[in-house]
Amino acid sequence: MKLILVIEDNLELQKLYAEALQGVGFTVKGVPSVGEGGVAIQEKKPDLILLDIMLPGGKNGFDLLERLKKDPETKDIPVIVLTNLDSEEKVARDIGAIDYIVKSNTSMDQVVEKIQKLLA
Amino acid sequence: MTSPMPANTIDIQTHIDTLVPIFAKAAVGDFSGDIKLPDQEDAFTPILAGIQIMLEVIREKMAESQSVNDRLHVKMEETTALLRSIGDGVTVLDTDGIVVFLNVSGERLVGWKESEAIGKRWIDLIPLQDEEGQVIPEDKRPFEANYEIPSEATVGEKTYYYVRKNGHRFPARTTVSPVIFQGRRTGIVIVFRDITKQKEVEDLKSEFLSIAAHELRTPLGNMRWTMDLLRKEKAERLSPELKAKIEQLYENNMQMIGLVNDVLSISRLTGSDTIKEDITPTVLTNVINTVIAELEVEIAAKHLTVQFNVPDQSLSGASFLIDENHFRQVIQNLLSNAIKYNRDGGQVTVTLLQSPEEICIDIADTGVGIPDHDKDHIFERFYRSENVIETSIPGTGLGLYVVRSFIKKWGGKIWFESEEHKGSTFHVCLPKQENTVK
Repeated sequence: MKLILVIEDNLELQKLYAEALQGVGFTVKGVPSVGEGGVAIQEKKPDLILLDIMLPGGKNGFDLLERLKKDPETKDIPVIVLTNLDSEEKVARDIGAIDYIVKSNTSMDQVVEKIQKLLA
Repeated sequence: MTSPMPANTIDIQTHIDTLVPIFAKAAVGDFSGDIKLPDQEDAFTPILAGIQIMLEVIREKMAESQSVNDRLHVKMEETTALLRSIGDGVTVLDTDGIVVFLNVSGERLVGWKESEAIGKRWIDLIPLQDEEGQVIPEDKRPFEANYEIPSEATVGEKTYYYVRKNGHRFPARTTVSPVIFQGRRTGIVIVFRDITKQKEVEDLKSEFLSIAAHELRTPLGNMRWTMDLLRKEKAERLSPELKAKIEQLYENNMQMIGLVNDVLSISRLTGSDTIKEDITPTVLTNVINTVIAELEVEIAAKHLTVQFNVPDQSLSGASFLIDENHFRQVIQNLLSNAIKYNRDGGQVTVTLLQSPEEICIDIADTGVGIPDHDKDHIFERFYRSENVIETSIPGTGLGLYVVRSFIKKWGGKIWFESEEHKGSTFHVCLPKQENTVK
């Protein structure tokens, strides 16, 4: 079963991701910060990372994305940026995100569909 | 021995001796002095008197003229003082773009003294930079290129930076107008000001808006997904009544989300700096299909038939360079209107077309239509025609304003046909050049 790592500080949202994605056969691990995200990636490489941008401390999501893409160990893990900021898509894609989703403007079904396509 | 002169002969020599010095002074512009008339009147007396009168009149006229000159001089000094003291920078260029005047504020702003600036080309003196620090080449400088004298005052909309004598730069807002003298254009006046403070405020405002939108979207987004999951619950777990209530919650929530998007867009569009666009390759057919799918609840509630036609197959799945979020907003607003104002059992037809220069989207509905007297106003902010205000159909009057603002920004066109009680068809065309189909 494929492992999806969710880096999102909103716990309610973490639960929603878990419910939706576990429901279609993925294993989901949720962490609330960049630091814990880094640890989780080391412990077990996920098949996909869902990354929020606004994490404790500011727009840390991008810092982590940059580090992941620079590290040969992790640069091939696909990262989908999931955020409620609507003006950062170009930045996110330039750093290496494979997709950019504005949460409130996208249905859960669409998110799940995109993930399924990616990990097929 | 000369005999005494008869009493009535003219003593010419004396008169000549009187007049010659007077004429000598007059020849060099000195009209002072008076002619003393002799006691003995003779034939010359009228001439002497006439010349004396002439001297007096000339002196009077010269005094008047001097007084006018003095007043003019004072006026000129006052006007120059006025120009110099204007709070904004003012520079006047001649038809070759050479500085003929620079006021005190201008000197302060650009760091050059007027005496250093006069005689030089303005565009040599003050380099222009864009936001990123790139120097704007001579032929691309707005208004100043080729010293084209504008026929009307033009205000720069983009923020450019003037580079001072010391190499530091400041963001400048400029107004350029022609100098017209005796019916001819004789130069350019550039009024410029340092807008560093305004820019800071605008940047703060912009950031505040983004953060506010983000904060609003967070609970709205969570609710949306929670309800998405709820709506998928199996029938046994949810009674029809509960399902119906959840649908209502969902619709309201989607409305809120749309509203946040619209208000954010409007705030950005009406700010004086251009709204930031995230231009990425966007598959238009996907966006349109997604929006239709999102609206399926409303479509079903009114028993509408929605058709999306793409007669030119090459458009299916084709990419277009455009801001996907903003394009989606445009489609959402137009489709939402086509659905909201439609009659029960009606139709919505969306067509995607292309011509060599444009990509066009038509959205036709069989709804309430727009009354003739409202047609000129429906793109205005907060405007809703009377025939819908009276109904219970919700709306803010912002949707079409946002739509048109984006389309204008993209260099496109939007227009419509509509007949009350029959329906409306909206047409949007976007130029291909800036948004090339890949």
